Amino acid sequence: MIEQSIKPISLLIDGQSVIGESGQTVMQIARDNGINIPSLCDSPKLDSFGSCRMCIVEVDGVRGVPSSCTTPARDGMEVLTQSERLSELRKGITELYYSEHPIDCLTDTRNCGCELHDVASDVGLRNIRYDNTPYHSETPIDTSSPFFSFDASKCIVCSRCIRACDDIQVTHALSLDGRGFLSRIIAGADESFFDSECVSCGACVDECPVDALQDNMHISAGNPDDWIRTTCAFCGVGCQFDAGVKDGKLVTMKPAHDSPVNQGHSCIKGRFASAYVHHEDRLTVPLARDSIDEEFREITWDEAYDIIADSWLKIISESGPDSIGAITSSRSTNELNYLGSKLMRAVIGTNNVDNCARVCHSATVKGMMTVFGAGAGTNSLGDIDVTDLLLVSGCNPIHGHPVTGSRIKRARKRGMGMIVADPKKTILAKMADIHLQLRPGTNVALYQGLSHIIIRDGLEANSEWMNSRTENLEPYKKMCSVMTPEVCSSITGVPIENLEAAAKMYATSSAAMSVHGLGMTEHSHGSEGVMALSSLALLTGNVGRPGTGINPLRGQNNVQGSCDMGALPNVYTNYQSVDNEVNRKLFSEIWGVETPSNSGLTYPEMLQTVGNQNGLRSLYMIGSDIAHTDPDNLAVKKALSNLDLLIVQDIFFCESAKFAHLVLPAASFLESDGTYTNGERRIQRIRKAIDSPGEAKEDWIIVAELAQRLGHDILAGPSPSEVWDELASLTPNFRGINYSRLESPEAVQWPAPSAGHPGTSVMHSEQFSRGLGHFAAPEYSEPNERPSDEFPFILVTGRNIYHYNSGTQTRRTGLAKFRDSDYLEMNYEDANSLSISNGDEVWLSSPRNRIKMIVQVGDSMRKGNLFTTFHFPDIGINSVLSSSADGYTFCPEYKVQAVSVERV
Amino acid sequence: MSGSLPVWDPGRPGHVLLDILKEEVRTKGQPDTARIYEIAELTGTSSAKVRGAIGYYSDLKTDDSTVHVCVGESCRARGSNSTIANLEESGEIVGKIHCAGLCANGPAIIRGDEEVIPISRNGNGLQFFLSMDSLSLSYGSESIAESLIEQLPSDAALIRTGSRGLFHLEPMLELLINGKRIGFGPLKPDETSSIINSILTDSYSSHPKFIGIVDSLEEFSNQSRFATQRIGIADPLDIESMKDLGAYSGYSNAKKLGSEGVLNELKKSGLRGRGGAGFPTHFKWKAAADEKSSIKYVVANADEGDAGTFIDRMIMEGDPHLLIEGMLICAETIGSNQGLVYLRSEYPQAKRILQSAIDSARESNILGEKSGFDITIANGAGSYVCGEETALLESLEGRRGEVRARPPYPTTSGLYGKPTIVNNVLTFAIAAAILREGSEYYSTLGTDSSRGTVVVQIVGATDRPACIEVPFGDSISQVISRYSSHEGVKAVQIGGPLGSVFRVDELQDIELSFEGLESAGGILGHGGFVAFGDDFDPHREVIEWMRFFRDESCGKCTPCRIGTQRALELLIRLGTENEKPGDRELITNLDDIMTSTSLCALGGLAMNPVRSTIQRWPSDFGGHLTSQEVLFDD
Repeated sequence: MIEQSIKPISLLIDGQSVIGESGQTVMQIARDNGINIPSLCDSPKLDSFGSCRMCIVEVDGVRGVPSSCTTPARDGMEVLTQSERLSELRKGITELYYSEHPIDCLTDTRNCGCELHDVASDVGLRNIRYDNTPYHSETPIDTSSPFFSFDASKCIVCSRCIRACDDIQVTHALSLDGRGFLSRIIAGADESFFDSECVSCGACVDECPVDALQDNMHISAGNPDDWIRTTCAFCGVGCQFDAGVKDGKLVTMKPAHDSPVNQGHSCIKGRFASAYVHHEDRLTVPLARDSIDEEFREITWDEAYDIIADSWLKIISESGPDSIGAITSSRSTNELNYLGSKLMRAVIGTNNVDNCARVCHSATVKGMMTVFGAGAGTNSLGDIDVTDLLLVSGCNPIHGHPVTGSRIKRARKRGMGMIVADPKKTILAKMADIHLQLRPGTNVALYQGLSHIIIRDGLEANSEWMNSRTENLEPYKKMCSVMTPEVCSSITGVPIENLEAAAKMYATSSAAMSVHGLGMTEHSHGSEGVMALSSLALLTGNVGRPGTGINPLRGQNNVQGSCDMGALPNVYTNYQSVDNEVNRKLFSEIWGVETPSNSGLTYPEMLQTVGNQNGLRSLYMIGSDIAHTDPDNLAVKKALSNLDLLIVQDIFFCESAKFAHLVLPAASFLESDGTYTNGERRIQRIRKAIDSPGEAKEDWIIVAELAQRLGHDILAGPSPSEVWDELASLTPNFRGINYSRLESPEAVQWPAPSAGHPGTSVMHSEQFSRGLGHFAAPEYSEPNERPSDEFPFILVTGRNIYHYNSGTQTRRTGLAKFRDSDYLEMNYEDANSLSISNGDEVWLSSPRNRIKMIVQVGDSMRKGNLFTTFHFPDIGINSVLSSSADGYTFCPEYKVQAVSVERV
Repeated sequence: MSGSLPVWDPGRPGHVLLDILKEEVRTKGQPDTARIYEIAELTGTSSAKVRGAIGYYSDLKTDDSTVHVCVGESCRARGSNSTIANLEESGEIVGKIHCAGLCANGPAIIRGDEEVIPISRNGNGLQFFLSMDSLSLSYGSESIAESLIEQLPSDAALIRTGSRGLFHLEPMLELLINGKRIGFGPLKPDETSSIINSILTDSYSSHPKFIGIVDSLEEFSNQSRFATQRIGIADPLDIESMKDLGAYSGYSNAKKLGSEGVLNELKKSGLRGRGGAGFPTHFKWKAAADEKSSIKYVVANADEGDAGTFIDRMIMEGDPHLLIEGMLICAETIGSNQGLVYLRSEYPQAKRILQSAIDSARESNILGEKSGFDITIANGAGSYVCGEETALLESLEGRRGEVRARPPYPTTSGLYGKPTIVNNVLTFAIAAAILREGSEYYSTLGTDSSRGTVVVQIVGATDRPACIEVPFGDSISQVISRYSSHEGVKAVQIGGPLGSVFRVDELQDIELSFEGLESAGGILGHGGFVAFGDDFDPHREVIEWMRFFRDESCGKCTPCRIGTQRALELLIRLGTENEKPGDRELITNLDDIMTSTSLCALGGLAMNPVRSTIQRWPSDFGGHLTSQEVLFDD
């Protein structure tokens, strides 16, 4: 890219002296200085277009009336935005618009939000001299989407929707049909929005100046009374929204334009699928039963706390505190996770606390901790905007992290290189420079194979980097030396020329950045795969600079935070080990109780002890649904049904609640205060926008009240802010962060060790968290799950954009219209050899179970490999999967499962 | 390498999308939804972008016409309406097109797109020359060729050339005798034998169709043929003959001069772009030369859509190496290795000849890998506004031909956002000629600010249509009377459909130059002069113009998108019993809005022919309209 020096310039606009920067347009500088120039096609988020001609101005020394949105500002320029002449022309253009727009809009006195109406008021247009017989007045409204509608009769053909789809979302689902006067907006191949390639991100709805595209919820409820800034509670991108609320109900979710995370963008779920909070299925009162064969009865909170306290005290006295465990939630706040950990450690006296990140990114934490000394993304999402090359490994951001997916596509448009390593031919794989379509479970071989080529060709970082920043290089080189391109290719199935090209591209880019997902972690050697990937970055010096690093895309909204908060059996906040005496002393002192010294169990380990002598007898599950989400879940369900007391705290009656003795109604994110930490370590606020239904309570309050009932006040103060201050005081990397610093749209990225510290966009820039970067040299091993004659296929599981994990929320929204089941994706060749056609029903079998699925035949997977999503409990995909897991972290091998397929 | 896409962008699938769609529509008809998705997959774009392109371009509409008739200005002036009526009466389904570049011989009637491969013959004996220019073919030159081939002595050569531009003499046969070219014309096929006889018997000078030494004809000797110097002289596809006549000597000079030297020559020559805007060429080239980019493009705008103009076609058919040379010089000057010619689909013969010339330039390593510059031809798909440079770039990117706002100008952000020179074919041709001849001679011709020569095409309702190249500066009337005729001419539209219309008697006071026309309230455009005869119907013509602009508006900016439709409605009822009170004020108002605020010249000049016509013939717009001041009073 060409660097152009930006210089301050000064202009005279309407006689007022204003300052801007070279490279800005007159419109931008006017807007920045609060000078309003009427415009319909211009938007701060889109490139200048110049079609509405409303923003015309007069410029001293320039003939005619140029449009200010396309006129570059010059130093000393004198501009008039208002004059009789301009007013006359603007009025004339507005009159032309109204000759093709519903005339009642002009006379409407309500604040309808139509920008054309506003412009008409501005220019004083009162009547239309042309015939008003709009060409599209009879065109039916497109109501195909459950979330928004399109009324062509209001459309002014400004193309903001098309440009938003092209340049913000980058789906290119919209265009125009016809030309000139007959131009009209179309979706896809002139289909309904629903049938087209549109992914309902809503960017077009946001841009539409005349409500031709309108949010349905907004249409029925009207304008909100209040806007509350909060953080989306779906994936780990951490998009900021303003929740529009009216009469205590959510009316609309508006993505925040000033957030560096989503920059005003959103996906379908964030913008349209948060209305599940008002679903009639919400839990509203605590429910209890003595045994899981009985029906539930409604009880009071006091009764609920009594039941738990009585049961836990009994268990502790009979078999010790380690017979109790908790799974806190990567869906809930940092404060809940901290308090949950504190409850178990300080009140119960056990380290048996874990969270649902166990089954997703625990291997990332282990792998990155080993190489860099910190288990967190090294860089920021914004680095995608500046990197030269993106290596996308084992993730499908278009589906799993759509806002990041769009950011990646935008970067591709500016010319960023891209390599995708994935067994699936994802959308990004199709648009990549190189697709490394590896055999599932061979990540370690792939990254060591790339390192082999880089070392062979002398493309690694210079010796100064190696000497001053790294250690263990020689053993690493030795390990990679066996992974020749031929060996690597035979293991991974990736053609040698692709390996060679990818290695060269990664090593020679001026800044290469890696993003990865669960395709890296959910393996029997997941931690080792992350080590191999991290070592590749270390080898090429691609760490510690903007546009580089290893960046896990976190699946749930607070995977980063729940781990940072120490909701893990072996560490306190920010990975301070519980078996370190100094740490334990500090925590014991601040918490005012002696904390246990023995590491606790991970939750898969806890479940394995159910029924054993001194095994787990009670489990407190907050906002997770392992009976649905965990592999081999017939075994999980069996373990759950053998507990003395299973407490499930959730917003809906989830699959796991079927095995519970006590079900506690929790508040949703829109009903809670606290913080989430996104995948780039950015700690962001959520704020209570609406009241919880019935007696549902915020997670952190329930935990605190339960502790109170057990005789301990674990709260430092009345609000989550004080909870945060306490945990920050215990955690060097958070010490400089408090709630008042989180008020800015940028919030703060940890580490921020002191009050004056700005937070950290790029980690490890001077030195690694562990001092020297450590080359990890694991030996490649085959996945635990291997195909056999009986189970010849390898199945990979993943997400679909229209649903979210267990689907508990998303299945209760209009999203169900987009996708109502999980499907089995199979290669044409396999389908042919089994005489299976698209849409056929098949048995999918493993030694654990067999389930019925519908097949989608295509080329997304290679021959011998299958893919499915896991959002529908009725399908029961997790009952087929094995409990095989990562040797270091127990992260399950969801991504490699040997199965068989036969026609029903 | 040419036309390759520098970055991933499904919104810019490249011109290949339009090629695929044209073939699809031609062979299989309008693609259905499933097929649109397949094409999208194939071209790396989305279904919406495929559908959007189909919806935009006229050539991508299925068409059941059995014959096409041109209804461009010149053909209208020559009676295309009655031609259409006659054809329809005989059971034909008539499709309308707006200019096939055959303006001198209109109304043009086009049947199918069968390719004519002109007959020629080598030989060491008598050297005959016959034009294979599309217009000459329309006058029947191919049947002359067929008849000649049968009768010529066995050692005689029949060399096919471009057209000399004196259409009243077409088909014109030339013969080299004693180092001079003598001519016969206009010929009929049955006259060939008497001509051959007269030559063999040395009595040709008394042949009734003998016109003498061609270069000595008054119509020729008075011209200053500069860009058109080689057209009609030799076989344009014979690169060696063309080199003998100086082809690529300008390029050699350019290489010696280097980038700065070329820019200096262009500056001294005073060359201004001939697409219509008249922007100094050296400024444009310098802007692109100054850009730091590893990818730059040189684009020739051969989307010569103005009815009444066809010089670009004549260059491509008569001296294609001149265009290639001009593009090469530009590439050398700005540092580009990729050239594209955006050629309108209505010029199949130009495509064939230009492609053939490109191929032979590649064989000679003038183009191609060894030269470091190559040219590909991209065919238009039926859109007038794609002649506007930014719409043209959009179309080259496989998009709807919607005009881009400027700045940024193409020189900084053009094709795929890369620095790009877009020049009209004639501009490249003149640039090559200037580098060949030196800037000095060129700059001595013309007026102070319109330097050099201008190519004028005089067509329509005149019995002496012509394409000539003369120095700027004479009065328009003088030029018409010298090379054509005023007889029976009532009105002349100058500069294409968007140009102003003048009464013929006004023209003696208007100087033939950019400024001369501007001060008369008109535009020079691409040098097209369309004469309307006594049957000129002002009301019908303004409706035709506005309908054309409404149909061809890209629709991007509001004044043009809605304004042309509203204007059309108002013009249709103007002066009739349907006229409403206030209509006149409204149309004056609309003129102001469209003219002042439109994004490009289509909307900005759309009222030009309307306003100029109504001002000159007010009584044709309602009997009660007596003063031109009533309309357009400002």
